[in-house]
Amino acid sequence: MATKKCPVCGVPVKVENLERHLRNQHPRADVDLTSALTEQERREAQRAKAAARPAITTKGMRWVAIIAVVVAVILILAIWNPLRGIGPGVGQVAPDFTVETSTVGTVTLSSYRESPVVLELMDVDCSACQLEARDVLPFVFQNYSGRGVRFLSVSLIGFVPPADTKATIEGFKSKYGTNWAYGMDTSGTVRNAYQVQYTPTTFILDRNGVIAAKFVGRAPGGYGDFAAALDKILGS
Amino acid sequence: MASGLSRGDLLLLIAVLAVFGAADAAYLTWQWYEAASSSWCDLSSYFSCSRVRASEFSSVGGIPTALIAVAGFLVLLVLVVLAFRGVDLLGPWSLDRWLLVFAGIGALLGLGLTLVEIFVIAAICILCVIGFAIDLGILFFAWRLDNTPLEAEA
Repeated sequence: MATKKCPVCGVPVKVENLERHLRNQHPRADVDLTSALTEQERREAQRAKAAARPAITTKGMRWVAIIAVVVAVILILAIWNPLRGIGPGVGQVAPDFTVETSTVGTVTLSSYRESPVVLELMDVDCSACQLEARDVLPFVFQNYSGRGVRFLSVSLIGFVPPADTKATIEGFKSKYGTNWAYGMDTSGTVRNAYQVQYTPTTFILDRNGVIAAKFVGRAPGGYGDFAAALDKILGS
Repeated sequence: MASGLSRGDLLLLIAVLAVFGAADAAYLTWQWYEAASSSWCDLSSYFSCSRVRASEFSSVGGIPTALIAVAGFLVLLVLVVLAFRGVDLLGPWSLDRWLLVFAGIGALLGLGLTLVEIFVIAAICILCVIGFAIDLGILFFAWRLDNTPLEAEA
């Protein structure tokens, strides 16, 4: 490998490293880098540099494989999150709760026993909840409230920022005509009890408070899904 | 741990970590934009990505912090690719020094955000902490790299 004496310190340096040597060792030296090497030396240096590109060893590959597997497993576990609960499902009794309403006083789920219940866990700022309130729920309410079905929505405060307030919930009710009781889960009690991962999550409860249907996100069949579940409970 | 690793090994380790870091940050960015009505990586009310996302610190001027992290990891990746292509110098510094500087900036930002999570938001986003850990790994290997002489140097 060709070497050349450094024009500043006189140390022999490989041609391909001369430029780097000058910059690192003599940053204040006024050396014209272009004139330090001849054209042929520059071409040689480029060839040598290409040949000296960083090499990967077997040991390195082993470390890369180990680190890649470890990091991948950690990421998959964090994203998949096997510790995340799935919450109560069909056939289970819906956990009871008492929450403040968006108007006055409190509401307790168990006080709705003896009636089928549509229980919606939602957030005013969730776009899917807005679509459900616009396209589905008022029509379900219109057709089933007269047949003894009761409706209760609970806002999971802060699920989608900004946090819902009594005023925003009442505004939501006016806008979409969802004129039933809205509870406010300010402490996260309902969210934790039902392990809510998405809003809206909607439950249809029978007269004993047992979950007859559960929709995570918007009901895929829209009004038809609600009607099918409620008709089954009502025996019609 | 990294003793006996060649310059190429260290660069490859940085590249792999940067790819994972970019993927992690990209997932966080996607969640920030697309999944506003879902909660995710929530183990409890303290270990809750949703709570961190809901805070004012999850974005800067409307740009999600995670997107800035994606850009940072991609910069590191580009620097590694340049190093593998035989580029030694970039402006006033060696490429190794640039890697160290960018990894240091990333680790400092990650440290700041982690402290904000602990002391201000009072909630930990696991995926953000993983991103910070990846950054620290890159910083370690970049530091080793900056202290590893070029094999071909006289």
